[in-house]
Amino acid sequence: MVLLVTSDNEQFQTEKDIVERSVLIKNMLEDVGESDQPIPLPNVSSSVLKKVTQPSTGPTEIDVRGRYLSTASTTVESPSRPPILEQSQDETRKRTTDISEWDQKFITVDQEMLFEIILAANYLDIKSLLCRRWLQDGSQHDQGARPPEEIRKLFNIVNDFTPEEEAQIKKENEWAEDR
Amino acid sequence: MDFAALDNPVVTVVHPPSFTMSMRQVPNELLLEIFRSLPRHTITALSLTCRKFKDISRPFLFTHLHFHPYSVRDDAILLPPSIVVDGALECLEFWTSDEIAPHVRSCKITPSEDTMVWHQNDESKWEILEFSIANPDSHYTLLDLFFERLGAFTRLRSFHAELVHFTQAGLATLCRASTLIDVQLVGCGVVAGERIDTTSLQLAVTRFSFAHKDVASAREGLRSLAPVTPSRPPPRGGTEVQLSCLGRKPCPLPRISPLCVD
Repeated sequence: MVLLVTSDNEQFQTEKDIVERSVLIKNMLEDVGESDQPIPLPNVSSSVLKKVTQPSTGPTEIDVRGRYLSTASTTVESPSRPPILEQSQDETRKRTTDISEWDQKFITVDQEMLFEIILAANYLDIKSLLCRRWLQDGSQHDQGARPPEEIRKLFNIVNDFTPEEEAQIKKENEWAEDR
Repeated sequence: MDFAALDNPVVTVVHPPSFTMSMRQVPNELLLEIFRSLPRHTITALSLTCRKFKDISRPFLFTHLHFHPYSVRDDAILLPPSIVVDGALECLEFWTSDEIAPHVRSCKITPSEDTMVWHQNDESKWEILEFSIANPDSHYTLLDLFFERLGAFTRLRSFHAELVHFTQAGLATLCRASTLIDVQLVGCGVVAGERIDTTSLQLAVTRFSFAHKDVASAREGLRSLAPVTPSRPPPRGGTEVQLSCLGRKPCPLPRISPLCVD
């Protein structure tokens, strides 16, 4: 068991293999070795940590953990840097469609929590949690994209375009289509 | 214990209770990572939400240029009316701008299937503008300008052309694109009467593919393009050359002497 202390000073007793999803924590544990000292996480609040360490059940757990562990091994060198993956388009496509049931359940959280989780996932270096689903269309939008107005509402984005700029970008995006 | 790393985290966000977070506060590196795994139509939609997202979306949306310099119908080349030319010029201007050109990795240049276009005239009435059949004196404005601007794509890796007849200038630009590794030419040849003389220029690509509808035109096309086709291995290994015919029955091309590949 590992003891984690969040930004709001709450203590968490967590299974070692669960916290090791985080490359940051995994590396810290490796550095300090066996120790009872608590690990401070000044950028993560207790509510977010609960989400991040939420144990999952059933066969998806293995899948999710397997993926965390495999990503961990490739990013050990710079755990504190934002993980920018160099990967081919095919791999990206595979990853996009490969969203586990666990991830899907996980994303039913409110907006504010969502941003905090994205930031925490980056800080703790848990790649799988940089979940694309949130920005993606949702199951009811499989055929087309969510319209920009809806995305703005959903993510609290202020439209800083003039109407002319918006029209221009629409035009430019059309030029980008492979016709 | 050394927690120095924690004092210097990548993301430092303070969360006072009343503070409403916004997607715009997520750092760019992180957004890039998220965008990378999104499907194209979602990125397009995101680009229209705010400036920050527009800027992040650009490298994802503008990697591939597909350009139509003219149309083809029944083997005849049709040139677009000026209204279409103006639009295409504006488009090309944008693609070759300093902001966009560095993102471009591949180019495809093919004739379109349009033979006419609807246009709203000054009196707000809709009229049909027909494409005109090219004659030997026609100017291929868009094609010429495309090759004039091709040099702007400093990271171009693949070039694909269909039914394009090259000029000496166009071929020279193509040969100068040093980042190119893959060239595919379908039904291409050289402008009638044009003399290709590129003693110092050659396509140094690792993959060269040449296809034509039948053996005779393939032979003629290859012969005319022979001065620039890869005939010696580029610095890094050899060139993979594919020759094929697009006729109903695929037939092997005869060996053509200038194109001897190691």
